[in-house]
Amino acid sequence: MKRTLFYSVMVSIVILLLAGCATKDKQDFHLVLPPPPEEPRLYFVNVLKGEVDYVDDSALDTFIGEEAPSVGKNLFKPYGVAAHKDIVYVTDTARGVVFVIDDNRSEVRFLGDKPSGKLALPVSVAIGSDNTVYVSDAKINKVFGYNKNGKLVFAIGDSGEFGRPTGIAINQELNRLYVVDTSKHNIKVFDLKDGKRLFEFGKRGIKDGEFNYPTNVAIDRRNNNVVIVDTQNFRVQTFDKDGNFISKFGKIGDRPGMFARPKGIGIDSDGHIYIADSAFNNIQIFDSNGTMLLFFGNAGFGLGNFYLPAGLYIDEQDKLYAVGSYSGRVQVFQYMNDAWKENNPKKYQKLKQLQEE
Amino acid sequence: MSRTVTKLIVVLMSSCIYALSAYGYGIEGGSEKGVLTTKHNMFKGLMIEDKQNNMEPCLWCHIPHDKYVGKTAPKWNQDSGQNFTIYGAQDESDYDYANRPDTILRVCLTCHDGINAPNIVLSNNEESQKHTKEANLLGQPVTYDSHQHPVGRDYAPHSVNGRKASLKPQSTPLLGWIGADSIGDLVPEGVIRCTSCHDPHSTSGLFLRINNSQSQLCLGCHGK
Repeated sequence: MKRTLFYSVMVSIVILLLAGCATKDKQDFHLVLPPPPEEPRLYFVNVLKGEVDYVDDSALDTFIGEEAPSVGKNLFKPYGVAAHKDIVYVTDTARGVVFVIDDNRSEVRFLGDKPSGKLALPVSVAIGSDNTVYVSDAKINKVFGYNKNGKLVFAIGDSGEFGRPTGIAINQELNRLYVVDTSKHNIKVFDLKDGKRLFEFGKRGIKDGEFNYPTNVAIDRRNNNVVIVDTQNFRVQTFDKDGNFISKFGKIGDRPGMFARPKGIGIDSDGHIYIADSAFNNIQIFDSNGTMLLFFGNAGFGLGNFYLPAGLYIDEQDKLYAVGSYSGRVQVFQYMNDAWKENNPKKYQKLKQLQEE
Repeated sequence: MSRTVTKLIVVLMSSCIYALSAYGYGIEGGSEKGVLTTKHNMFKGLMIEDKQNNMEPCLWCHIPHDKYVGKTAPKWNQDSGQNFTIYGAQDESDYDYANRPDTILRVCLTCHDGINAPNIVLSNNEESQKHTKEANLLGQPVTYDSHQHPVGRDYAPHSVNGRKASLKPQSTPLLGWIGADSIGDLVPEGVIRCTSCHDPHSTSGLFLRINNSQSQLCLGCHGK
């Protein structure tokens, strides 16, 4: 009887290993989504774990999905992620810090570990137009901002302001900060210029524009729409920048297009919405109308798989950052829109050939 | 038994079929009221008129199965129309329980992430214990809302650690515990899980299978 619950695992990804791949070159490992003969949409770029990323000899182990011996301080139970110019910010809910994984300088720094602006349960991270890094803390009930030296420069959340601030996103054009308040079932919007609250929207419920324990948020850079993961209503809701309801999709269930524990959200330059679901250990991709486009991932430590996935982020270059909270890592994928394919003809052809091999 | 109660139980029985079939945790120990009135009913406090939400007490953990017949495949991958694997359910015959959280643990962890519900950080294996020590050395808070008792580990009274912890044999009877008559009922497959001490369907404080006054919860399994 028990077995009836366990469906055969479908591997919907292709891992193509080139011959002679026993080097540390990350590009030797290719994972293209979806599998052939479909048009390639995403490819695997990198995996980040913390200080171990910049220690010699461990890269290969990490890449084939095995647990590398722990060296240095690494992600333990990460949740939120954001990135700008190859600097990746990841919250760790167990360690109570934000990892700053800086590929430009091949080093890892930390935010929120000093007495001023010390974090307890950092959830989500977002980057302002002046490169201030904002972090929500669901234990201290504040949102902090740190400058590039890690100095605390911003704090909101007077007593009673937030029930439990979780997902945050910044509209850099409007200089607005959107904060999801999970336990108050609403979204609070702040002006980053002075930290003043502009307005809030949503209340508890199941109707359009209402929430039941919402968690994560992302901004559609094309039109400034705000997209909220309404976790315990098993759906995704889209609002305009001022909080007016536009549309929704999703319901509970176990087939593609449905959700059970939707968490992280990212939106690419074409407006596709990526949702991580920690009950399915996968990521589903929808167009902005909620039409199902692709899903990938299963429970596991291998490439393209996730263990209890949490936050997602898509940067200006359409790089998707996907956190696996139990696997303690961030996997990075590149979404290839038409412009990318035009600008990177060689890489695109290579990926297409890989699919044909 | 009043008609309303009977009706309620019938509704719960039909909707909780997953609970019964999957893990043997049933509608027992007063749990028929339990899920409805506790935090584990995420609609608690909401007046829902919608009839289809009759399943609400169970669906938070027991995800309804949707038959995949004649549904549209994802547009970018026409081959991939199939149901998802819930909680990464694995073939458990040779599963390494001791080192990875199995399905039953992961059910809890999908919500207990510090965002939806209090954070649970597994500290069951050596790797994570190393992390914890390391965090201490660095002067960090070890974890917030963390859980110190090992889970995902074999219940082994005769092992070195088992003897250190004075573990009693699995056949030891338990009195007054919710959903368990002996230690063996707490550790199916001989594995310690969240559900060894907690019954998520119960109404008791912290969902404990027995309250811990005079350490009676601890003393269920530990000799001293």
